[in-house]
Amino acid sequence: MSFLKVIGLCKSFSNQNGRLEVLRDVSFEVERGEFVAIIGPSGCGKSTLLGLIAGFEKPESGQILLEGRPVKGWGRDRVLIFQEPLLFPWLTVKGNIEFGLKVLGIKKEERRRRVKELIEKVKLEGFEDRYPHELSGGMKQKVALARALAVDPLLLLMDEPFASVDAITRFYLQQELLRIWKDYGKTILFVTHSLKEALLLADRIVILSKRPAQIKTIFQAPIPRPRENKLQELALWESELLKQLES
Amino acid sequence: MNRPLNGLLVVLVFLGVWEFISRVKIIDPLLLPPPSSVFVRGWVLFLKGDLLSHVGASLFRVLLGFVLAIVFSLPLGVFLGLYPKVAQFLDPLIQLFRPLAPPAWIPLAILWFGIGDKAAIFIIFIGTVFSMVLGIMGATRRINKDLVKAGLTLGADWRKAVFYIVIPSIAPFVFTQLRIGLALSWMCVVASEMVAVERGIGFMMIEARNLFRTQDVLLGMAIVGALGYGIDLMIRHIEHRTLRWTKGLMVHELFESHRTL
Repeated sequence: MSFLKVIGLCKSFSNQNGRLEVLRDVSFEVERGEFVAIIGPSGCGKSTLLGLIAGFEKPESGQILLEGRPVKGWGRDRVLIFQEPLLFPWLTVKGNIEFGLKVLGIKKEERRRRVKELIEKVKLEGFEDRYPHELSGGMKQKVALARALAVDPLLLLMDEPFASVDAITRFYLQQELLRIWKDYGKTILFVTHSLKEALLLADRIVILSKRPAQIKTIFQAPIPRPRENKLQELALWESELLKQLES
Repeated sequence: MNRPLNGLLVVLVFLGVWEFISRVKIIDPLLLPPPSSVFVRGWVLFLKGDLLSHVGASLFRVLLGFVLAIVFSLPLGVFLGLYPKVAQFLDPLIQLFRPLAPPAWIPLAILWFGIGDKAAIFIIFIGTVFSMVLGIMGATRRINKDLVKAGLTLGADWRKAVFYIVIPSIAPFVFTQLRIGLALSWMCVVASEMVAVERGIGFMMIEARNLFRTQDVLLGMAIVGALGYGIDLMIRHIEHRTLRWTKGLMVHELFESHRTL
């Protein structure tokens, strides 16, 4: 049985201009510990798909099963990481990472220990007591990642988390995400609009069509890990896939 | 430049001009006694013990009425902000009561509570509560929805989302609301004391007017001003400590940095 099963998901929104169909019969499965990228043209409904899995939206029809149980509403077993870091501006780096543990009612010593470990993990030592607005965009996103990892979710849902940082920072964030993914063995569902990013990070890549999003194809990432130093190969695959997708 | 000293300087200059106008009789000192004589009169009343009893009565009413208004309006404002349908339902009622100036409640307050503390406290409460509820409701409606979403995805339930996200989000606005509410409270207490009680600064002032003791009238005004300012400073102090995180996020910093460029 698959870890995450998305079955026949349909979703549309209605507004004054009528009904807008966003997702049409989307089905795929994700294994435990897998890193799956979801990619598609902008506005195709990638974020809606993630929102459905996170439980912030209700599907019109279809089902989402996590460990065999249907997903109902949001919960900390599926933490969503947004494009904007959305840190709590009144909390320091430490306070932000601690947030999920605090609402869970975990004891202070235990919280402190976990926060310290995570700060080391995302390499933010020395910034524990800074406020979010005192951090760079990349650092903020690292705090958001640590904050999500703190509650030990089954599934990390990442919605274009590195889209708003510069190329160099993005490269480092990608490396760190891969390192953390390996260390913690988390299952990650990663929405991106960059084919290169998907090829670099994921085990498998789900390609969505333009709206209403349907699954165009799902394939194994072709380049064996580690891929960080195979930029040429990545670029080759990227252009190859682009050609295929256009046809 | 040192800001507290600057502030003191402004007050001293103001008092100096006033003293001068009164001493050279540009305005009849019977109508506008010089500040020095007001101060002396205040000292005399203080020694007699009358002053402290009046001030104490007013301060007690303001603090109690104001605290009651906060305790009532903070939860209600947040609740109405989170449930706009209830707010819409109650809106006509709120809008009917809101234009009633606090003094308009005085006759009813006296009928209900008689002459005394209760009537004055009621006036303060009713005079501040509507604006505070509406203000806090508006602030709650405008917080960043995505921050709440981030909290929920991390495992917060609704109650925790309110305490850990909604309340901190509106905190900067609540402090402003508190300062406005406090000023309103002083207005209400003086107005109500002029009719509804037999002690307090407002009572002292209206009695002084009847006896043509202009000094006492001015003394009352000065005390209300000074106490209001003092409590406002306390709120600002707490605000400064609580909202330390807003340092670096405020727009005036942008203008200041622009000036030094």
